[in-house]
Amino acid sequence: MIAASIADSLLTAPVIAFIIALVATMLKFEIRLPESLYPVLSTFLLLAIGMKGGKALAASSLSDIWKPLLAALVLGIATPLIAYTLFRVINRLDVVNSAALAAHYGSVSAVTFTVVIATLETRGIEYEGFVAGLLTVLEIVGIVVALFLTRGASSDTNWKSALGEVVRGRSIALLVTGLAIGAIVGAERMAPTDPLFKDLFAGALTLFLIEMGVIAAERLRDIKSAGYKLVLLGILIPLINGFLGALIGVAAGMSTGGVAVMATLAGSASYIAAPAAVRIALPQASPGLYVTASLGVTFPFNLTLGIPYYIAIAQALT
Amino acid sequence: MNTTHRQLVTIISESVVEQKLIDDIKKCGAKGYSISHVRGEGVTGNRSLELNGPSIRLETVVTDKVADAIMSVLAEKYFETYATVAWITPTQVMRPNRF
Repeated sequence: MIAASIADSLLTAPVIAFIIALVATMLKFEIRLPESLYPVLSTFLLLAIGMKGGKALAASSLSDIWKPLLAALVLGIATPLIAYTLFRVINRLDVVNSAALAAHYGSVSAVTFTVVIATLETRGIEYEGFVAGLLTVLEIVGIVVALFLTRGASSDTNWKSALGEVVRGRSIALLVTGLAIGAIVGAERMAPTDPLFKDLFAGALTLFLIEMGVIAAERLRDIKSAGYKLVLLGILIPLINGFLGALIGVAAGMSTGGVAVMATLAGSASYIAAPAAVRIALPQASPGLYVTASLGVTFPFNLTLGIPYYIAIAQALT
Repeated sequence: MNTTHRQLVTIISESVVEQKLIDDIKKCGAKGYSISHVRGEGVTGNRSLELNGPSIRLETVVTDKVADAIMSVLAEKYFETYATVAWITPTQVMRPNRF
């Protein structure tokens, strides 16, 4: 069943585009998209995800949302603590580097989230539309909890500007903008924008993942210097946190698709918001460790094997 | 032509510190600045944050005193922790009260 699930989830245009771009770049083929396309695509995708979530929020009541929201908060606290402990104990990293990594694993990857959504839709699995709202919560909480761990170890943790970096940063700002537009306007009146934000979504995601494949391949080259334990944890932590996310999603009474999304959120690692926040709050932590782990190891793992695993456990648990 | 001596301070740094850098040079007394995105390589070879944009080049024309103050702040807060280089070039300007 898991093999079938892997095949089903892998054979979507965005994931195959990612894999081909990754392999082609490693073979030194030049397939970089024009540089200016990347910010355009990421802006489009974040707004579109936000609008989708906003439309669903407009249609749901507080009683639908409070349990998944609470579940997201619990996950946001638990996942960085688990990551921190594992990096301290298994990888024997110092407090600052462990906390820097924990911020990445506690926060979430909007791209991985987008891919699981696209995969669920391709496979016809229902999920709660408001999960994009949970994405914004998790993106912030995980980073805050991880930075909190360095209190004491680092006297000059620059809390205020690091928090500002996350909250006002592009990804959260665009997601929240989309959420607000969708929630205020509502699905029915949003219909005229659907040809742009809904119909073109999977195509835009495919283009975007070609670029991500190139970037991930460049990061993969740094793995040798990062050491095998980092690679091991880059795979182990998503498996553990993803399983925990699925359990908490089930406890919150979510549907199969919703549980798969919670598992994916818990298992994914941030590589845009978290690096920026950590660079400011913990400049002494090594970007060679945290960017390599989240972008070079965990992101490709999640796109290829992680998402099928999260969907499979969601199906087994619900 | 009636020109006055000023210093052009050029700073190359990571894009994540852009706002922090702007705040700091203003505190030192800089009245204006220009920022552009640049790519390149240095001894640290730090390209870890390319997803948050390429490196930035900040240029500001200031008095000798302000240029010294900016360099001190860079030495204190940036050179050790962020991939940063900076240099000062003597320059001539018209309308010196603008700088």
